[in-house]
Amino acid sequence: MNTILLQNLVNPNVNLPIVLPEMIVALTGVIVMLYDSFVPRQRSVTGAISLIGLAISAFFLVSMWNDAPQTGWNGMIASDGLRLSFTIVFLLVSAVTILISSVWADNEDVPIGEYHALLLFATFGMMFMASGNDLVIIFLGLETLSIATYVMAGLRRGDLKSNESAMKYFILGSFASAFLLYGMALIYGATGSTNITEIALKVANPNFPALLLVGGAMMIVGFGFKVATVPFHVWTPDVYEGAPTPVTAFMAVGSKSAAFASFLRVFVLGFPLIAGVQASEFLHESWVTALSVMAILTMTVGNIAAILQDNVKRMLAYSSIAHAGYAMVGFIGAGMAKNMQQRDAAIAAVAFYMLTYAVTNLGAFAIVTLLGQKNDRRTAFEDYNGIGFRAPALAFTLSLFMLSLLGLPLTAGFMGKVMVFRPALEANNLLLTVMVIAAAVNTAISAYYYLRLIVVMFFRERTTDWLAPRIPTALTAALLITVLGVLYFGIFSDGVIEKFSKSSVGTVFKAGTRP
Amino acid sequence: MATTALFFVFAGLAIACAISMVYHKNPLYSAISLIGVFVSLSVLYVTLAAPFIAAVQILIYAGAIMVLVVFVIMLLNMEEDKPLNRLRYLYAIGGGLGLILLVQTFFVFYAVMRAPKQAVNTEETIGKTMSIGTAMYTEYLLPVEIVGILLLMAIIGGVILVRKLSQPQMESMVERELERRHEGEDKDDYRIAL
Amino acid sequence: MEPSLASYLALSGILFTIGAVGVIFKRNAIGMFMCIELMLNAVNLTFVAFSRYYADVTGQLFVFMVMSVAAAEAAVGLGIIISFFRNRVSVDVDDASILKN
Repeated sequence: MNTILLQNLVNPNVNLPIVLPEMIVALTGVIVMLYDSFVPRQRSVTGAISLIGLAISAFFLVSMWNDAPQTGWNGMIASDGLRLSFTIVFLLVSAVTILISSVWADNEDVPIGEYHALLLFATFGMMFMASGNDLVIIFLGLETLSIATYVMAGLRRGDLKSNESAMKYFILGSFASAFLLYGMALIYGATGSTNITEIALKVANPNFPALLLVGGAMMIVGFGFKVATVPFHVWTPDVYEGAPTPVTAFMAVGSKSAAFASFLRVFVLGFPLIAGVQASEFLHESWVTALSVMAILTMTVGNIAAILQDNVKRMLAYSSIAHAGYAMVGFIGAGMAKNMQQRDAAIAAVAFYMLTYAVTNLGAFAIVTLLGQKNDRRTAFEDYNGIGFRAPALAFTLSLFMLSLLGLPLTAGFMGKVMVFRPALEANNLLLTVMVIAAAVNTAISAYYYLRLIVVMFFRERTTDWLAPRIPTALTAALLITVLGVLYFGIFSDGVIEKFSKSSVGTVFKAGTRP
Repeated sequence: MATTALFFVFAGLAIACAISMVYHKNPLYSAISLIGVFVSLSVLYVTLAAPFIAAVQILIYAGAIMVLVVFVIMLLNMEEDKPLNRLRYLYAIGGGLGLILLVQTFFVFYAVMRAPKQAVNTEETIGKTMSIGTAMYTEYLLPVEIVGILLLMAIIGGVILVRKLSQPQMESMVERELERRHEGEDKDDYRIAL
Repeated sequence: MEPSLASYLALSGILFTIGAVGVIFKRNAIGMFMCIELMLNAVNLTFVAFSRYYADVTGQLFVFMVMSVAAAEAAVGLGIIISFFRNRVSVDVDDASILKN
């Protein structure tokens, strides 16, 4: 019988402080579930508990902000600039979603305690996607987020559209996860490890160079689905339209940012360009080219399809596809960075873009939730006819969000785009420059459908009766936060960018040196 | 020698069961074929010196997941698939995807065949339960805890999706179903699965 | 002669292909779900094969995690399918066309 001597055990390197934010979010989820089991259907109490939990988690995260980049749990968790900036975005998204959902909970019969718990566990998964430095953690975080979102999309159980949306999302989401997992298996095979930093080192002399390429391609398919880039975007409009609007807001903003975080972690930090090694150069060039082409297609298809839509939720869905394309520009800029400062600046730019995109989209979806009424009956463009002067506060706020999505100067959207295009231009590469030009052209095209909503609200005659809805307190809070965010990030973005530009774990090998 | 024989027999069985699963229209036949795939894979794991994973494969996949699937098939009283009247382009996509993946499989096979061989150490005890257990509680402690939360959340999600509808939800569903059908036209067809 | 790493990878690739094609061709949701399970099993086989090759327990631990995730996904997915069925009489995927394609 084999016996294990205690000194033969590997040190698990338990490092609770580094994962404290995630643990607090999970604990809050459990507390919410416990409370809900004793006193069901207390919307305000479970909402308040969730918000307090998220706030405490954010507090601990911010207290870690000035520490040097470090890894923990045997290299599985990395606490660096990427993790900190993205996690703040996730916590903000989650908090505002809870505020937006209050409208939904008031109007319809929703199991609100469980919904809040699911939201918190989804946030838990998202946070691990950002902080995971190992393929296992990234996969588990991704699945936690995805499974929670499948359930939340189908939560309006009496509604056929919601059921259909959940089922489509589930089937296509699992399909994509299988591709992602296959890619992870091949990368493990090619390099012998699942840890991102070790993979980055092993790319210099992989055991099976061909498997790196195939694995990378499969992972692009998997991540491409989650981020909703063309050609893997077909699920987005249907799923976003059918799900209840607060859940759509969460999916459009939260899932996408989390997918970007892990996408960045694996590709920019895991597959660096090591000059002089043929395998690494080929791999790097392949993924940069593939993603550039995908980015151009994504922006174009997203914008053109959005022009043709008659339903506001579908229009916002296609708009979110286009925005993912813009964010990819920054991503590729990070991939082409020539030294660590540029790379970290580019990662910070993508995180900042996600922040501005989050704030704007959450606000837009909040208003769509309110105006959509029970079961999202009223989400077509006609339902927005002429409400401009009858509910000026709402209409002007929605116009502000549309302008920010378009990218008008002084709004957050503009600063986000500027930040994200800069790393791509600095790379001095033909394909990247073409990509930035395409992005600029697409921004101009997108003016059509963003301005169309504003025109419809203010300058169309309404044929049916309409009473301005009363805005509940929680939604007012959400709108205040998002409007302030849009204006603040538009005007005072420098401070935020500087806060986000901390260094990331992992090294980039400068051209001409070998490890 | 024995390993090779086992590999070819059970690999063939796995592929045959997989094709049978995709081919059959009756969901119950597909489910049984899938169980066949799982059992063959389990034997293949044994040839790869991973006895713990082989046992867990039978327990979880064949024993839990497939039982749940068969249960749901019976509960929903599923019939056979009707003949396809699908849009043509789906055939093209499916065929194209299959072709690409097959080419990729051969590419992987060829690449790995050509690479210099590393001798496989047949004395290693990696697959034994003790070594997996050790790793699970030392190196891989964090993933195991995350899986715990994942399973908790899946339970919550599963239950709230399948719970009986509350009265207001049921009423609104009935209302909408009535709106959907024309008045008086489909009275005989009036069925709502509860 | 032992079956080499390449043979296991080829087998897993073939199973993955069959699963992927199955997801596209199957008409009913449970069938699609079963094909996805087949794909996940193919990936598991890849992991175990590499784990044997490298004599590294990482691969097998990953397989264990994938199995747990597959179980969780099965629970939730079948719940969604039941919920979908409650509102209609069939689980025919082609009927799911209220949302425009």
